[in-house]
Amino acid sequence: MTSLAHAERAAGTATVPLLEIKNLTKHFPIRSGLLQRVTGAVKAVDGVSFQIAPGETLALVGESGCGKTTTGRAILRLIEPTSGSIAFNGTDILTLRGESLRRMRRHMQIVFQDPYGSLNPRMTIGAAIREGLIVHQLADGAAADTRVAKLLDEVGLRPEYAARYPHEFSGGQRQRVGIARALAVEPSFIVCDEPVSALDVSVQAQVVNLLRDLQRDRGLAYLFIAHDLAVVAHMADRVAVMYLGRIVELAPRRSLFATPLMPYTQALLSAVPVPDPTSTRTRILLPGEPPSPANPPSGCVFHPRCLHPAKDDACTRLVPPLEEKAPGHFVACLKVNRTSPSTPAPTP
Amino acid sequence: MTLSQLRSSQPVPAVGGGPLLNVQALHVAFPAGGGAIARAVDGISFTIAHGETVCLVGESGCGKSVTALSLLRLVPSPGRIEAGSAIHFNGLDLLTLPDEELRSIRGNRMAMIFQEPMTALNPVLSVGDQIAEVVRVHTKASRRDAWDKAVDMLGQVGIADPATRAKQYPHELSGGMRQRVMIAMALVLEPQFVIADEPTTALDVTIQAQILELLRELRARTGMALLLITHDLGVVAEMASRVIVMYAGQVVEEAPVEALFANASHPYTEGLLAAIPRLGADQARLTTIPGTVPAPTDWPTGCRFRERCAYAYDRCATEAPALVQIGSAHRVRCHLVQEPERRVRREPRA
Amino acid sequence: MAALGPTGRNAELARAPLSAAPSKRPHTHRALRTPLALTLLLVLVALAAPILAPASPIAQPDIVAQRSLPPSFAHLFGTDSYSRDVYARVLYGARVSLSVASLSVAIALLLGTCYGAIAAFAGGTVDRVLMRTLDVLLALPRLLLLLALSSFRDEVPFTYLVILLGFTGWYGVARNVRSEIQSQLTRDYLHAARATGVPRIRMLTRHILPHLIPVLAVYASLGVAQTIALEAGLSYLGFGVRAPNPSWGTIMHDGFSVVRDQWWLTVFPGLATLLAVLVCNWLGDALRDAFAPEQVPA
Repeated sequence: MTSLAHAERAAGTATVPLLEIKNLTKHFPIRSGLLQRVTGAVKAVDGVSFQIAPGETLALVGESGCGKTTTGRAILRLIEPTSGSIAFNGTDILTLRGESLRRMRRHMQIVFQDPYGSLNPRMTIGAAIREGLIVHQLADGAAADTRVAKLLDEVGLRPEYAARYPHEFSGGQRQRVGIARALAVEPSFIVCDEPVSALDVSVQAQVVNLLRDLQRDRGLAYLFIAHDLAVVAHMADRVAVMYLGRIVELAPRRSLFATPLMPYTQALLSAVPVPDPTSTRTRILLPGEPPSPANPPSGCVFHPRCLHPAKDDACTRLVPPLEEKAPGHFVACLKVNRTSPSTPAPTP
Repeated sequence: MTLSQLRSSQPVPAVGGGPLLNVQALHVAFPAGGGAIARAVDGISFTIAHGETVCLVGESGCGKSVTALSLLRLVPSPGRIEAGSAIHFNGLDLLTLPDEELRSIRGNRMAMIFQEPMTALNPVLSVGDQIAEVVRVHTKASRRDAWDKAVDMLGQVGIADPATRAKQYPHELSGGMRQRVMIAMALVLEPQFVIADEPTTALDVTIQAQILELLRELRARTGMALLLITHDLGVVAEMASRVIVMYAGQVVEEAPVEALFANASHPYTEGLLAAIPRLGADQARLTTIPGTVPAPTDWPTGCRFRERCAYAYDRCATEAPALVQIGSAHRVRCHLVQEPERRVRREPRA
Repeated sequence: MAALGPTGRNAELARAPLSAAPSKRPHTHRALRTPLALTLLLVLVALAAPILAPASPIAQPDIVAQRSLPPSFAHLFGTDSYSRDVYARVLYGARVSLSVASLSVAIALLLGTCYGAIAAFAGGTVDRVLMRTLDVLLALPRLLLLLALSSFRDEVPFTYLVILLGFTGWYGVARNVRSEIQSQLTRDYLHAARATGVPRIRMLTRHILPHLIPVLAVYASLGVAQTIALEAGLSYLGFGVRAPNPSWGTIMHDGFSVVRDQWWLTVFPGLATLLAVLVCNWLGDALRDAFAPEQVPA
């Protein structure tokens, strides 16, 4: 068992976790040449482990290319993981195939980022929502229609919209349809893949509140994937920060926002623009760009951009393990000592 | 070669003391099917002084991007700028300027940074060529000089090893770098006025921080005026000296940035500020603005915001409010300005 | 500061009525009405040939007195060298031409869809092999192939011609179907269907096929137009449908040698072919416009 799991047990989340991911890896082969030989791999997800308890929200944050979307899809086996294990309610779903996998899908659903691509333009929204009920034989005919109407009402749309087509709705409304579709099969876990990133501020607020209310009413667990840390602050119980395919920090929400320990997290938090013109907060400006996941740096993947004062040769050679440095607070950094936060990186 | 030596000898009539940009009663109409007309921009007026940074804020469909495109007469057909609109740049009437002269202003004195660099950059030309082209179109520089200027500019926008990068193509660069290239293209001739249409929306937050820092540096160095269009109030707080809030094709509030954040008067601005997620939230519920932005063909009578407004009363349905001055440089389009006693919170309809 | 009121969560939500009227389904588009009506008219005329024709197309009432008569009230399109009424022959010819075209296009669509779907779903090596084979097939000129294959038989029976035309006309369909399915497979809504647990067969029939209908409808109408013309050409050259059941091309073939004097033998069937091809092309274009993807709001 990983130290993570030991610590989480000790921290009191002692019930069987709803979802337990161990060393999830996804490498995309790079092919080149006339014969399309495999010449390398894009290490999109490189050894990710975490747990989610029933009814909990774990936020997965990071910038583009960090692998958070791939992780979310791999958990649902929309992308086949290269290795690792995904245990849902104790069952390793990677061992399931065919019919048993299909039936397992009922319990784990997904809401997509792009409201314009996630609904089939040739199906009415009612038909889209009804699909889950039909394929899992939960209801059909008039009973299904009633349930669809109830779901539409629950997400804040008029039931008579069931006969309309997606292009007649706005982005926010389409996201609600997507949520209704996920809820139709009554899952216990939903991967929310950047569900509000494409929405305006006022609509975003409505959808975030909707997700919270649904979670409270139905006891749903969420893996909330986002790049916007402010939205995460309103949703998450715990937060995991990803960089180049690895989790670099994992902590309860308050700990992460109050005392981020990993230099990348510190920079990420300081980069979020604050809607207050009188704020005198100093910015940590990271140099350069995130490297390509096809060619990750040796040792700590963050070391080329890291501004930590104690950064040294070890950082380029050793891969820091994700270890508990403060109660419930896990960091992958060689220079962060246990129970004493690192000194923040200086501004350039 | 200095820039002044490279710059073409087109004299720019200086209007002593006047604003750099003066937009009056801008109306932009699009056909909406069935013979109807939708005014994406419905009577906008504002000015921008030399060296000032103004942020134009609003959500999708408010008309901010169309406003930006109108300034350069780039409104895509079938949309058109309606008669009665006036746009003056340094005293020049942009709407009646002949094409030849307008072209000499675009890219030279007035430039635009677009939102999506991948689509705004030409995929078959190297980035160095694209920047050099701007120089060659507007100045008498030779190919060599224009190329050197391009490489220099790439260095100034923070791209490492600019001489090599200049030969690369857009698809070989990351999103952040492409946006820097766009900025280089826009700023290479040191324009007096730059329009940036959501320049960081498509970028990661750490790259956004770098780009905003870059814009601030360049602004300090060249003294350019900046019209920054965004939906992100955090960016507004960092960059703007003055803010214009748009809703449904109109300006609903205009104020200096501190006054806007401390004393927002229009219910929409108030709602927007309350709806922004904040880092210190600690799982608080978000405040929302009920309803959605109406389409231009569905604007309510009277005040366009009234169906979503927590304070709407009878006058709001019958009479459209005008833009009224409430403080130095602070204007609001709301009846409550004149009748503050009616500011009672109530549940909005539907 | 919360905007929650007595109506709770629902007060915040998007209950505004949708502005537009329910979107028009493609078949009600204005632009489709005329070509659709004309096509139906064409089909009706062909079906109603026995009623509309004054005489039998194959009867040779008076091979001496009534042969090669120019158009008159008695014989609207004149008679041919066997004293057969050309008007009747053109009307009945519609049946042959249209049925050859429709049946062969149906075969082509079926073959092409299966081939394209297999390539798209299999992917990888299978896809590559299938597509390269298709490239080879596309390189063979269709007309020459048809001529070569028809020359084996002296009389080309109806079925044989239909099969030939069908088996040489599916390549474009396969290409289009494959690319359409491939582009669908990357869309999030298919991932959503998979995540919901929709079995693959149902995904194909319920989620993917509706997207193929526009492609196929357009192909069908344009294909029919093309095949009418092709069959007319083949028959005209003597390689197509033979007597006694005339197709337009056959009628023209009969009049080939006397095209200057007995112009009515070639002009009328030629006009009929032209009209049919135009109508089908028009329908195909209108269908293509009607099925244009719904505008995505910016």
